[in-house]
Amino acid sequence: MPRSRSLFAALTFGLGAFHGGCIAYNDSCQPLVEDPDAVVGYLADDVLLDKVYTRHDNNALGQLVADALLHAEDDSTRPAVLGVVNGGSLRQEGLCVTRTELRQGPLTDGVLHELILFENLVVTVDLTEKELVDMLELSVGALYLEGQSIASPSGAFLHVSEGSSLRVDCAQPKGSRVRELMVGGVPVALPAREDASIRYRVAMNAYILEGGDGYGAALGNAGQNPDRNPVQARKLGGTEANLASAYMKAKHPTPVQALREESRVIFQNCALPARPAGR
Amino acid sequence: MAVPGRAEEPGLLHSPPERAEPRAALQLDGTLVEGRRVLELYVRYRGPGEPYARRPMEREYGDLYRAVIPAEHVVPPGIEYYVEGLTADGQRVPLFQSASRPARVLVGGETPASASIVRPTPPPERRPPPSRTPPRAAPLEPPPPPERSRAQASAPRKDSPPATPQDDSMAALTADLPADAPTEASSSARPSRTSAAAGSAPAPREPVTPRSELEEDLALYSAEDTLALATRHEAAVRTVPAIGASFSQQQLRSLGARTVADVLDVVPGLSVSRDVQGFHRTAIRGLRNDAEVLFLLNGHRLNSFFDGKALMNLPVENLERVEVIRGPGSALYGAGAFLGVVNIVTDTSDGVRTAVSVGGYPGQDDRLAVTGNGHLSAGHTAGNLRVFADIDVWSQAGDSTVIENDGLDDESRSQGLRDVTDPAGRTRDERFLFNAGAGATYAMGDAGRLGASARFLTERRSALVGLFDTVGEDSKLGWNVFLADLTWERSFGPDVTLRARAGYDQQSTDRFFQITPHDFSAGTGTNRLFEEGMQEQTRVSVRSLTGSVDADVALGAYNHLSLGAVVEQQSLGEYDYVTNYTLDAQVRPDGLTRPEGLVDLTSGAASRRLNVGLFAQDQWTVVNALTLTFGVRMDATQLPTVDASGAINGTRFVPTLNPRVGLVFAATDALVLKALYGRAFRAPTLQELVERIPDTEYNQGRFEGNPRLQPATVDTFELGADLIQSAGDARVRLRANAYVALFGSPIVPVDTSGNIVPLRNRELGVRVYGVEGEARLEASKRAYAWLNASISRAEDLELPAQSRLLTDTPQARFNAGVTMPIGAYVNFDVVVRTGAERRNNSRSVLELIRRYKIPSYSLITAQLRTEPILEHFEVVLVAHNLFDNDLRDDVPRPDRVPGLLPREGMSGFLTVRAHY
Repeated sequence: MPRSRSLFAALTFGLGAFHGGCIAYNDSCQPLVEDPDAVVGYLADDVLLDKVYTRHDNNALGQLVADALLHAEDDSTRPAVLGVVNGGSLRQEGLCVTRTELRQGPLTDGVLHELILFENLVVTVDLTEKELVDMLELSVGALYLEGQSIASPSGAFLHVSEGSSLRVDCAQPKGSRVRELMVGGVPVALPAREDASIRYRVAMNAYILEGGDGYGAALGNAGQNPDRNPVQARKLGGTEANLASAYMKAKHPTPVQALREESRVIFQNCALPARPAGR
Repeated sequence: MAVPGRAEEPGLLHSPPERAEPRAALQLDGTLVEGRRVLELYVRYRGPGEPYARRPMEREYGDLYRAVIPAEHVVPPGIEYYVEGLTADGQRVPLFQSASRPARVLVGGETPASASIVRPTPPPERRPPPSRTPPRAAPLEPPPPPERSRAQASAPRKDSPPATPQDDSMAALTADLPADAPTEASSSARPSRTSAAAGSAPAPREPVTPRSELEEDLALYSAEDTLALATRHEAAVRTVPAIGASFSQQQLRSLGARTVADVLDVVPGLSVSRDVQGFHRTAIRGLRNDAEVLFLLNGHRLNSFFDGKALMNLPVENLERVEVIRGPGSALYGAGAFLGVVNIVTDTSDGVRTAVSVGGYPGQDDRLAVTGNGHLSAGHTAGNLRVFADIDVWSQAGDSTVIENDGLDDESRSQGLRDVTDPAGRTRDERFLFNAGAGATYAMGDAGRLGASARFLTERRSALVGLFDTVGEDSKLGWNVFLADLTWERSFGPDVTLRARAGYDQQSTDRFFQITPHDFSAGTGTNRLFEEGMQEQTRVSVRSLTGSVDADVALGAYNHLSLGAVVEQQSLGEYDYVTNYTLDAQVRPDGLTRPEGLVDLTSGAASRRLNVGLFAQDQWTVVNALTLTFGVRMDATQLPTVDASGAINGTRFVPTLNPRVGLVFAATDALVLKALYGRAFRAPTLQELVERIPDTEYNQGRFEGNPRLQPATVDTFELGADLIQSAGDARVRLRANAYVALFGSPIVPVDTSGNIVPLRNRELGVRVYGVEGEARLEASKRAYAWLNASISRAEDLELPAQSRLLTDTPQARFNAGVTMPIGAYVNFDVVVRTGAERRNNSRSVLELIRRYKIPSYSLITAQLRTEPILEHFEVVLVAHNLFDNDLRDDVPRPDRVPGLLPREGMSGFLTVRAHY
């Protein structure tokens, strides 16, 4: 019996030791960039990150990404005239901590990459005017009417880049909500013309270009059509987050040049999220 | 004939006949001595290649007992039997011979071996020279007194012939039947490597395994711990060239298991979870993929050609055993035997067995959610004909647990479909299962044995939650399976056994999902109002036709060769996907209709698949105690080819070569070491290749078929050790395995974008390594304890180091059980199953942020089980999840269903069994 007791003691000890030492999990808090504390720029105001703010309203962070995409191919012969990013690309979950807002002031590279979590590649492509308008109609088609509660804002809502704006009337039926549109500082007459030779060079992430968030209905196979000259961004790995980080460093490096939200989408008769007083 | 070693021990005075007439019932008579404690006597017998069957010995008068072995089992080359008694306190005591050393009777007049082949050395106690046998005498050998004397009895086995992975359980099929002229000289001729190699020297046809009775009794899970999976013929788990486990009927009973899933969850290295649709999913060694675990029912594949799923969660009442191999089995079983193989074997033995069970879960409003199930299995032998049948009927209300949140929380609340405080719904686990099978075998004399069997299974159940991330309480899932087999087996002389099999199966599934609540609006207007909720339905039927021929050839004393060829034609009969909503979420006026743009799968080149496989496996006993196994299987699998745009333009045969090498070394009588290597492959399922569901806002959670997928491979290296020790009156068995598995080009669904994404082979592969340990301590037949523990680590090598670990199945499992008698008539069983914490994988950013953490769990099954009452009845009272542990499983969208998937709570069942 002593032999059996020692056998079991050894077995139990061995199992315990092995159990304790060999169970491991991924460190979900592992930073996504080498120097997560590096400051990439400054925010002029607090930026709210709940879905209603990133998917149902203008948002400084969304506008930053759209601007970064707009300038992704500035070195090429045919730079984009419009950059768009879907609100669903802006995430509040983070790696370890869910953030409800970013405080005004410095923004670090680590946090920025957590906010633009998906490593979507950026593609610049020609769209016809109809495709462009259909895309924007789809963007605003799921906006809630004024008076409704914004229960489940769609991630398809697009933020647009500097120099572009649109006026949206949520009282209109889906497909006719965009009432005014300006792209790259140039007004676009509505409804869109069917002439397929009228092209707008637009930068967006590969997710929506490949049909994500329902954009397949508007964009078709534009991303695979050589005639549309799709070009994938190459610098900085070509991801949204890296491009946005570099753009922030270049354009908003000091508190004086801090990133500030602009009223690029003008909402009419649409539900809008309540903002904390003073913002 | 030997004299009982101890006069006070019971024994049977019996002389086995030297020969028996083929296909004539064999009558056995014996006199019970010192049998005051013995209430009943049983003879356990088997014919070639059969498991042991049991028959009671009836008292004729005085102490004379008699049993008749049915004629159907009395076929050449011979039969084996032993006799045991059942005491008043439920103990089984050996009376005459034993399972490891049965009496053997030569059947028929044919010479069992050619003159050039000399029988192996039988241990003296195995086969006493008939010439010495008096007509009636004392038992053949000392009935082994319990425990210590058995351990001692193993010592003389050192003189036994060389070890082999083959075990005595195969002996009736091929092994050392008495020579036609047994002599002392032949019985003393010790086979040696030299004699085997020379070929001309006398050598046994089949080496005898030096298994001790102790070893037999201490099989980890049962006294008949045999496994046919690894070698295609029954052999001891301990010595087969694979890491396996086998659960006998007795063990299934003592586990308190009600279904196959209950059994699999206690196998070291296996974890069974459920998904939101209610399917049971078997993870093996840290990885979980439905198409990668091959399920066989009586050797017939259960996995569907379309999606790889198997209707495997059958009741265990009518099962004879469940066999499990962890690790690859492609060398014998071809595609799909990837993570492991599970063979479910029904009980076809003679007699009638019935069971009725009633119980359930404490349901809502303190009412019991009732489950009732009935089972019948029977076998009968009449001359050369043997017939058998079994039926399961299972009706379950199932547990029901609140799901607080689902993916449509916001919409449902804003539409007034439920209050903010209302939960999204409840799980539903209703199930009706009907399983009926029947078959017959007919011994045709020299023409061999012909067998035919057919089975029909049908299941109707609800979805546990729903399709993906929403509660769909109206969901209904139907599954019909028809299996048919025709087999023929014939021995050509003593050295060659040929088997042929033709198999057909058809599976049809009808999966209807409710994916939104009733009265759900997908927008404004009546054309977007879904009164019955949004719905979709997928109907699929597949067929397969299989023909196979294989042969076991004894190439001399130390070499056993298995050869085979398999041709399998699988095809898709019907595929239909319909929805009651359009792609832009409007109500379809005609109800459930095929959506625009749906790819018709039934006419494509991928809808049929021909697979041709050739395999050979050789077991070679090189020297005493060392056996090598070499196996290889070549498959040619028909897979689609694609053009530059990715469209399927034809098919081609993709060859795969799957070798298997095993080394089994019986270092001592008590210690067996194994070193194994095996490669396996699995072809992509039809669903993985071609299914494409139109992408809408409401039917997410799917992956798009990719015709470019290539078969995945796995190379597995395993080391195993098996040790038996006697410790005082108790006996201990230990088993440990370590393994490394390297998966090449695995097909893994990884959501990288939130869209419907195409499946692809992960080119850098997956690596898994781990250890498994098992132990069993046996004090008596009715008092024993067992435990097993396993730890695995799975890594996706395509990822950065900090994200590699795959942790969605428990990395560590610990299971244990205790069985003990309470008085003479009742047994108490306790089984504990524990699993380590599970967390989401992080192979993509989406997986990373769809976080969950499932704490470690501990589930207890407790059972009271009577010994046979009035010889025919047993009553069992079992409680599962006794302390109502809140077990949860993972869901695909934990961000939308943060409460995860609730599993079954406490339940209780009363079962009455009767056998005749």
